[in-house]
This record gives sequence, structure tokens and C-alpha cells, in this order.
Amino acid sequence: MISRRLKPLALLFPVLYIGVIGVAITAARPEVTPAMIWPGFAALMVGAVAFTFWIFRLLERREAVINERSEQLAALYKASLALTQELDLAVVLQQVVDLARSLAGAQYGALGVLDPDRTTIAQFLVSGITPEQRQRLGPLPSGKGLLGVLIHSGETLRIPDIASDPRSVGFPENHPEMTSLLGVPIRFKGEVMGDLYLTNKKALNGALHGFTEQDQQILEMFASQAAIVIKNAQLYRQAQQLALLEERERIGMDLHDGVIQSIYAVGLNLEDIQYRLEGEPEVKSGLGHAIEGLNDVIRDIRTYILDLRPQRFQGRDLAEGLAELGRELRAHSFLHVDVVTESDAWRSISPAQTVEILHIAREALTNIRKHARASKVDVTLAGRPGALILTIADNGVGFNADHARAGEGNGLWNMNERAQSLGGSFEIEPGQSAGTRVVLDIPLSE
Amino acid sequence: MTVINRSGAGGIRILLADDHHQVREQLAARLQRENGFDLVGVAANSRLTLQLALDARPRVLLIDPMMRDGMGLATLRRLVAELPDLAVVVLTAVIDTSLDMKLQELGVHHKQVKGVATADLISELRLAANG
Repeated sequence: MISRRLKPLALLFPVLYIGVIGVAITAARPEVTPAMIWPGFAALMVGAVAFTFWIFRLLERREAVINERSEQLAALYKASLALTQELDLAVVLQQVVDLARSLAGAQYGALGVLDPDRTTIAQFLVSGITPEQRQRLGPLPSGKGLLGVLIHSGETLRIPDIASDPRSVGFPENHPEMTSLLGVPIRFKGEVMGDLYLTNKKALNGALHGFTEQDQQILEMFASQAAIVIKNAQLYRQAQQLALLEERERIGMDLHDGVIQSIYAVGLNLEDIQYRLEGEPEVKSGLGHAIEGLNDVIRDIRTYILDLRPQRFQGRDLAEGLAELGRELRAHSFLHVDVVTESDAWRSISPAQTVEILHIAREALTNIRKHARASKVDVTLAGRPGALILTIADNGVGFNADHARAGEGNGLWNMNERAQSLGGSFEIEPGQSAGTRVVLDIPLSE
Repeated sequence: MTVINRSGAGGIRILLADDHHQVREQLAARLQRENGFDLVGVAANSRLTLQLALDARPRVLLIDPMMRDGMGLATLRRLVAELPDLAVVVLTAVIDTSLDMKLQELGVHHKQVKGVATADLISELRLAANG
């Protein structure tokens, strides 16, 4: 700004000065004619003007750099401030990557959050990519190539052209074209918790070029802010989950220690009365029904307690989870339960899908226990190309859709919802000889 | 609750351990009237269970190891180690995978959940005594 105001002065001043000297010389020395000195003085003036222009160009460039830097610092400050307004982890992570991208003027941005083991990418958020583009990209990057270098070295990477770097392993299909890369680790207390990746530095005129030293510095500063905010959001989420788990645990313990025992004692009492009754067959059978009813209530509470257990299905693979459901059903009923895994197709489903499928299976098994009056259940995990098929068949009284819709359709609705959320289908059909078959068909992503 | 009944000779000697008052009373009454059983003691906590088991040397221990004093499983572990002839039947509210595994480690294979017909419990007790 200052340079612009100074420029006319700085141009005028040397020219005038040289002119004044020229005039002074011709006035003081009559033997010197203007024709003798003016060509030389004119050359001096041109030289002075050229020098001034050159100096000012340098100054202006310097000023532009300083301006950009102070703008970036202001943006950094704003970004850091914006981050502290939010506690929700998902929102924080998306904000971090969006703000980083705009701070460094990158076309694309991504944030990889590492697993606690710090070798694999647990979450990968993007910015500057449309949801459709993201969809076409497929699964999370596994951390090969340059991403891997960043994860394992924990050092900043600034590369003008990704494709020509020997450590690059190339892009998957449908990946947007990317040339320059700036990758910065997010550290908390010296440990890398994730990485920011920015690609395709965009200049103001839209041209692409490499990231600058200054972009790197700004991004590194931002990353250290982001680390604190992300950690804070993670801790906040943990604290909330812990509170929830403690509450569940407590409810579970209360039901376990108090309610089940008391109902059981009442049942035993009724049984005793039933035993002592002489004659009165109707009353006896009425008491028998009452006892059965109480035992049903206990079973429901038991299932409820098992569902309250923290991370009921977390961290289990599907085969393991189904086997456990089978064991539980055996322990709480007289059903003969067989769990057979016929195919390895289940290995390619995600943990989230696994939890959903296990919930569907549990619901189906609960229905069988409650309504089917079956003696045998077969759970089969099979596959066909591109899909996983879970079949749960019983030899009970068969399924009455009208009855289910009228009274206890809630479980059915849940199962259907869950199946649809998996992009799969859910069918209830009569069994081969008797009973009911529940068939869950889930497409596998490649 | 520490009654030791040595009268009913000939039956399967049973020690009942449960820290829920009503459950304990009802089960004790049920076992006392069942033919072929001899209830030798009723314990309301882990300490009494240990003491009565070592004292009365029952054939079968019917126990809910989920005791509020938190020592149920430890007591069971000690009794299984000290009394190799003791048959154990676990009767509890919920048997989850983790409890199931612990019982398996202890070599306890007779287990029932509360809320299943008492007739099944009685036959489980006979099975354990004969096993």
C-alpha cells in the first residue's frame, strides 16, 4: 500500500534532481551548452527511472508475499477459533479438512485418522470431492504409497508432482487427477494421530502449481491446533460413551440382582402353592400358566440384559458372533441349535455390517424362541458370487404373517429396516417340511 | 440360614448357596420336600458357603456364584480345588459367554438359569450327583 503512494514521488524525485543539477551546471558555467550535457543527463534520468521501477517491483512482490502470509495467518486464527466452537467429533473432523484445504488453497483435501495402533487408517474424510466422486472411489485407502510414507515416517511431505515421485504407487480407478501434494501429520503429545493431505495447489488465477514453504508452515501450525481439538472431541465422545455404558451396566446389574431373582422367587412360591393344593385341577393349571408367564418375563429380561452388555457384538466377526448367539440360545432354551458356516464370503463384510447382521439374527432367534414352539434351529451362513446369505430355519409351528403384523410385528419391522440399510433383502418363508425360514441376502461390495 | 440338617440320611447331600433371601427360602423348601435329597446346609454368602461346604462335605453344591459380596466365583474355585468329589450345579440369572467360559475352566458343566421349570433343576441335580 505504502509503495503505491511512494512510487510517483520516487519516480519524480531523481528525475527532478538530475534536471536541477543540469540546469545549475548550464547556469554556472556559460561555456557548457545544454546540448553538451543533456543527452548524458537524459540517459541518467532514464536509468534512475528504470532503477526505481525495478526496486518497486521487488517491493511490491515482497509486499504481496507479506500480505498473503498475514491473510493466511488471519485465516489460521479464524480456523482455529472456528474449530474450538465444536465438540462433535464427526463435525470437527470434517471442519479440520475443509479449513485446511482453504488455508493452503488446495483443490482437494483429505484427513486420515489413524487407528490407535497408528498403522492403519480408521477414518478418511475428504473435502473438495463431490459425494458421487467419493462413492466411485470405493473403500478407504489402505495407506500404501505416499500415504503410507506419511503415516510411517510422521514427517511432512511436500511434492510438486505425485506421479513422478518414486514412492508413489499410482491412483485407483476413478480417482481425480492430482499433481502437487502437501501432507502434514497431526500430532498429539508427539504421537501421530492422523494426517492431512492436500493436493493441487490452486493459484489465484486458477493455475495449478506446487505448494510453497509458507503453505507448509501454515498447515503445520494448523495441524497442531487441529490435534488438540480432535483429541478434545475424542475425549468428549469417550466420556459420553462411558457414562452411557456405566448407566447400562447399572441397569443391567439391577435387573440381574433384583428383578430376575424376585420374579423367580415368586415363581417358586407359586410352584409350592400348586404342589400343596389338593384337587382343584383348574386352579392348578391356572397356576401353571402363571408360572410359565413369569418364566417368559424372566427370559425377556435376560435377553434385554445381554443386549445391554457393552459392545455386545463389537469386535466380533460374523461367524464368531453367530456361534455366540447359538450358545446363548442353547443356554436359555431347550432348542437344539446348529450354526454352520459354509462359505468364507462373510470375511469381506465390514464390522458395521457385521453388527447389523448379528442384530437381525438375534431378533430372528428370539422370535423362534418365543413363538415358534420349535425344537431345532439351523443357522447357515452361505455365499453366492457377490452376496452373503444367512438362513435361519426352525421346525416349529410355522409363521403367521397376519398374527405378526397384528401383534408383535415390531421385531419384523426392525429386521426389515436393518436388512434394507445393508442394501439387502429379507424374506420369511415356510420351511421345507415344517417351520419357518428367514433368509437374509446381502450384496457384498467389491 | 446356617442350619445343618443331618437327619435325612440316604439322600443326595446338598448344600444350597444363594444370596437372595426369597429364592433361598423357596429353593430350600422345594429341596426339602423332594424325595432322595438331603439338604445339609443353606448359605447366604460366600464365606458361609465355604465354611459349610468344608464342614458338611455335601455331594452336590447348588450355587448362584453371582453373589453381591463379589466372592462367589472365587469361593467356587477354591471349593472345586479342595473338594474333588464335590459336584457343582450353578443356578444363576444370566449365563453370558464370559461366565460360561469361567465355569468351563472350573470344570463346572451343570448349569441352569433361573426361571426354567424346577423339575429341570431337580433332574440336573440328580445328574450331577450321579456324574
